[in-house]
Amino acid sequence: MNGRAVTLLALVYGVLFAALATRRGEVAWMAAPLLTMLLLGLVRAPRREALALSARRRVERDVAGGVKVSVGVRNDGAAALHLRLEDAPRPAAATEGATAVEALLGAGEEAVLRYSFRVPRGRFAWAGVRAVASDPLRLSEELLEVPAPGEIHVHPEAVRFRPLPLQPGRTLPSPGSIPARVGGSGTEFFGVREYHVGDALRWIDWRLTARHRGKLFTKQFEQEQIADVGLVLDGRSAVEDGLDGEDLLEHGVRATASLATTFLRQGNRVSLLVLGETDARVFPGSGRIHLQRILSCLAGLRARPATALRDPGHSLARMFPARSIVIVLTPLLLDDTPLLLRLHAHGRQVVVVSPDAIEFRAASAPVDPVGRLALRAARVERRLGLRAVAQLRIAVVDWQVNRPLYPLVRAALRPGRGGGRP
Amino acid sequence: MRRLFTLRPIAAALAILASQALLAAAFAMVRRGEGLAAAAACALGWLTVLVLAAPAASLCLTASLALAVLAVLAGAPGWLSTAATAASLVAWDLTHLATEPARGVDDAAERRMMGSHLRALGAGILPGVALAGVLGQARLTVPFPVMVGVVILALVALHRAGRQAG
Repeated sequence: MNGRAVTLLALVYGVLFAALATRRGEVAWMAAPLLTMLLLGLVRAPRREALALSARRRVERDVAGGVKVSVGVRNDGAAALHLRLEDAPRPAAATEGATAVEALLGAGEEAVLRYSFRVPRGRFAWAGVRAVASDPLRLSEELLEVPAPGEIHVHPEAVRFRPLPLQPGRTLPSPGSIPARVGGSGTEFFGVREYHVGDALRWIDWRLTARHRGKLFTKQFEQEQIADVGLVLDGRSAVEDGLDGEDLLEHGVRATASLATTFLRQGNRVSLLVLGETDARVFPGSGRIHLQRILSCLAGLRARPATALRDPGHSLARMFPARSIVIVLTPLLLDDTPLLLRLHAHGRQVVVVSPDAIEFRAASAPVDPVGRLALRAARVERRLGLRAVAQLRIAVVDWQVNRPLYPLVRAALRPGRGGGRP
Repeated sequence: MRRLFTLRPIAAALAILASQALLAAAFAMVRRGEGLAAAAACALGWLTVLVLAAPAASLCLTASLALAVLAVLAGAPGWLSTAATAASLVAWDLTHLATEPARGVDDAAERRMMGSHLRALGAGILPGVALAGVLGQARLTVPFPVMVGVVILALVALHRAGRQAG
């Protein structure tokens, strides 16, 4: 019985008691329509054992970047059912369609719930559909969870950057695009050495050979190899507050996704450390599958409270090998320098990309004198923080999120800036 | 679908007006001005609930039933009060339907469901009205203790049935 049935029952009790109290038969007969309605509801109440429902779910990305969900619920029983279907968990912002429907399903018939929603990123999983079967008068209900599992990862949008020039302290012996300062096969001339057995005849430097009788010389080219690039994303909620639905953390996530895509496209090995509600790590790897791994990790990021950045412990050395490049995306709050110092150790080239949280929120700051003063103080504090990091020989990019990131990162990765080559 | 969703409140409003008109007629027959005013106030309140989609339809039904009982006690004919009760029940049900948020069903499915609901509503209320009419005509002299016993039996049966239905 639901609230409607209880109301009817209470009214029947009330009318009958009133009839008893007043000793008036006409009053008692007034309860008859209420009683018959209630009895019909009870007689036609759905029986749990007679309910046979099955569901199938389809979740897919649409061309506009949204997520389309369709769930079909089928009545496998013999009797017709009045059903209220509701998808759970309901996505926060269903943009089109409905997450709940009502339907009268005959035997073998199917009702389909269709909706779509748009989110910047996230992991969504569904276990089933909530089905409430009721009598036609909705006086008695049976709640059922119909299994209809589904899952989708909405990856953050990545901007396509042009290749970023890298000059790490160490390259990996695998063909790539970074000049390795080692002779071998490549495109750029590197030097000349004496001929070794097995050298290709086409690489013999005939001019030099002609000048030195009895000796052969071979031209060498600079090897182009790959590098280890580490990305660290700070997911603290202090940077999450946004204006007009904007979110600074999302800018950081998108920037990380864009950088990871660019570095992997260049053939490098990329690792990712996400300092969110729970720290997430993606150990170094390369290729398309690895990019999917990184994007999935970013999709599942949940912000955490604004405390000092935790030290990730022993995994740091495995994630970011010595003399690799590490790009840290952080708004630089207080007490962040110990982790930056640890990252900077072992000859790593660290670049801090700092989305400017002060300017991001400036538009929503109060315009009274106190507000202006507070804004000014915050700007000074941030400038001092950036300067303190720069003094550690760490390249700092002060990023206004409404400006393109590519030229700033490109400039910061140039040799001689900040860490540069150790 | 839009048309059907706009039809629901209209049907509910008509049922509300009909139920309160029957009550007003009952009070008019016994020349009770305050009863007429109360029926008008109840109609107004119920229509407000309908317009604002407030979850107070049950309160309106209770008020309407109380007025029907008072009308009988004031000497109005029992059949008129029973008819008013039945109309109030229909109005209560339609108000619930009208104030529910729109569900994503197509027009044909909505029409089918509404048809089934209205048929069930008729099947639930009309036998009750008929029964009340028959019982209203019967002139039985039932001793008070027997009446109390019957009522308690009915209540217990209802209670047990309700518990069995969950």
